[in-house]
Amino acid sequence: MRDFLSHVRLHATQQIRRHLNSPFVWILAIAGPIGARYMVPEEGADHALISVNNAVLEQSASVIGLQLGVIVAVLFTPLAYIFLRAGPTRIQPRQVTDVVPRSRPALSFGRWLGDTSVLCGLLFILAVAGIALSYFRLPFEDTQPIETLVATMIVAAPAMAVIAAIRNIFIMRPGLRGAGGDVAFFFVWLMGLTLSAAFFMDGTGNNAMADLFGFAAPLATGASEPVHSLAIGGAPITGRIIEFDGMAGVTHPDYLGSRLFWIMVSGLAVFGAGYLFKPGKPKRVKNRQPAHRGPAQFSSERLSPILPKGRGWIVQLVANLRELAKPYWLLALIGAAGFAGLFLPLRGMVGPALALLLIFPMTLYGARWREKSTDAWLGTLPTHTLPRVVVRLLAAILFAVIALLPSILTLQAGQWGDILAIGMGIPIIALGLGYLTRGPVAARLALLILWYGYLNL
Amino acid sequence: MLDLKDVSKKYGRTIILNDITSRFEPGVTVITGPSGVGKSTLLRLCATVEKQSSGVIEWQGSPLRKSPAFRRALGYAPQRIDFPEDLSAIDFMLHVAALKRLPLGSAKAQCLSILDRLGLSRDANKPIATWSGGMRRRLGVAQAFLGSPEVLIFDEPTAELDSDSAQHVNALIFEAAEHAVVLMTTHLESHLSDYDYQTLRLEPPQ
Repeated sequence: MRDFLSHVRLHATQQIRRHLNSPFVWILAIAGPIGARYMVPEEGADHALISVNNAVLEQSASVIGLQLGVIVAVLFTPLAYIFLRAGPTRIQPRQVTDVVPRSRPALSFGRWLGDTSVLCGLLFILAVAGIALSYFRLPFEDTQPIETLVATMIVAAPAMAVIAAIRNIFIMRPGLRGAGGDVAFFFVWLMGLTLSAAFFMDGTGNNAMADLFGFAAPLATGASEPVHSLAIGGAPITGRIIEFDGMAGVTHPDYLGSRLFWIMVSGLAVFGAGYLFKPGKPKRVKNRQPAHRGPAQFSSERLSPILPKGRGWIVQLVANLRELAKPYWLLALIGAAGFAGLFLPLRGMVGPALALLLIFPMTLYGARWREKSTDAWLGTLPTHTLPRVVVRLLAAILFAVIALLPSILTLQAGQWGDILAIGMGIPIIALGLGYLTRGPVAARLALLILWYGYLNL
Repeated sequence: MLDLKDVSKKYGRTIILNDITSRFEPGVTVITGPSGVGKSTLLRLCATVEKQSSGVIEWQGSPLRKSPAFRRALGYAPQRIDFPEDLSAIDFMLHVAALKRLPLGSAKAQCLSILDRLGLSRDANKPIATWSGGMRRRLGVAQAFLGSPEVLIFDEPTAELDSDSAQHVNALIFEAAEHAVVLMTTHLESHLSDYDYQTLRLEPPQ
């Protein structure tokens, strides 16, 4: 037991140190407090992020904390996942850790503790910003720093533990370490939000255990009237203000029990996942014929000189299109979905199918050639960064437009928005986020969320 | 030709290179010296990856800048390249050929020809992820030859290679050196005994 705990402590502190050594955490620590004032609009503002029964919540110390917590638990959980999946701890020395004889449960549990601590630390900073905000928004006698802090932490901290657990569970299985994990996370997140919201509507249920991300129960139980609608993210403004007790839901014993339950489930799941650990090659290598081994065959034919000629953007375009056109099975699927545009409607059928198929190659393409150590070498080539990125973007748009061509030929009025979203929106987001984050995860998750919205249009 | 005049490089207060003056003409110059003496740093300065703290580096009589003209003349193989693992070697080479603005028709032929010389053509269509360390090293060297550069810079081109592969890599480097300025570092100078080359020995700054 002592051995296990010392391993857990080692991995947890190592994980925290890796986070703290990176600028990302500090950027988020600064961005959170700046963003807090936009997350909790003033009373009478022309927008709201949270509404209950189409009414904005009456502001109080606990409501400010509750609003921050709910927004983090709902809207920022994908960002937290991206931070863990693509942030400073994304590179794990697996060649070494996969073969050392140490406790996998201790490793995954320790990393989960480390990730959860860092996310909760960032949440705490946001909560403190909420306290500061309450002094500007409320009469001095109504400020209750403890209530603001408690409301934020109780609502969002368990959600952070859940996100950290999902990330660390996914690391244990080769199939979930890459794109498979991102897709799985998207569905878990979506299911968690949908079930929670549905369960609490119109008083059909009040079991806080069903509230995975912890936003629905406190919003449903703190209102002074039966709740039949919740809006988080973009809420309609009706001018109505609803009386709301922020602490009623947050401190309800059922709710506290449910938060504890989900933290324990997260910890146990991460612990158990340690036993499911499977080392392995990256998925993309699996099932591929390996390169020849043994003595190589060398030619001795002299090289003929070839000199650079012109600006070479056509060659670049072709090279980039070749990158996008692989693997061929995916190209065939994209081609089939695109061809279906000749006889099937774009909205609701061909559009969502094509968009989903394009998300994966585009996000990989967007992040390719962005490894940090490659930058310096690429900088010695005659094509500068900006023209290189522009040609890559043009190739991606061209690829998407070619796939959309049958739909364009049979386009109905009012569907140009769909064409622009798929033909330009996906390439721009995939390359933009891929370029900025040097990885495909952020773009993939953002595009999957947008895709789900498009699917439901 | 490539001229270094009183070139120094400091990182903070640490002096890595101190007043290096040398002239490199077509042919191979092997930069030698103990580990950490600044051999790779000197190559990075010549490849315009980094800028010297003082002194001048000139190419064909003009100060070296990150200009397309010098970049078109340059082939650089650093110690490590993080290859896009899901691409095949031929796609990787074609992409670099495109960035070097080589004509489309002949680029593929040259890519295949270089891969053939370095014993990589059998696996040119397989993803780089399936390649061994030695094959990746040769691929890193191979891309530098694209476009028949006038300046070739290799940082440990034969590290991780077996003796036979190292000989073939060296043969290609020395063939290119008939028309190009070649700078390279190597810990395997014994493999170069069949060739004529110059040596620039770096010593730790006093």
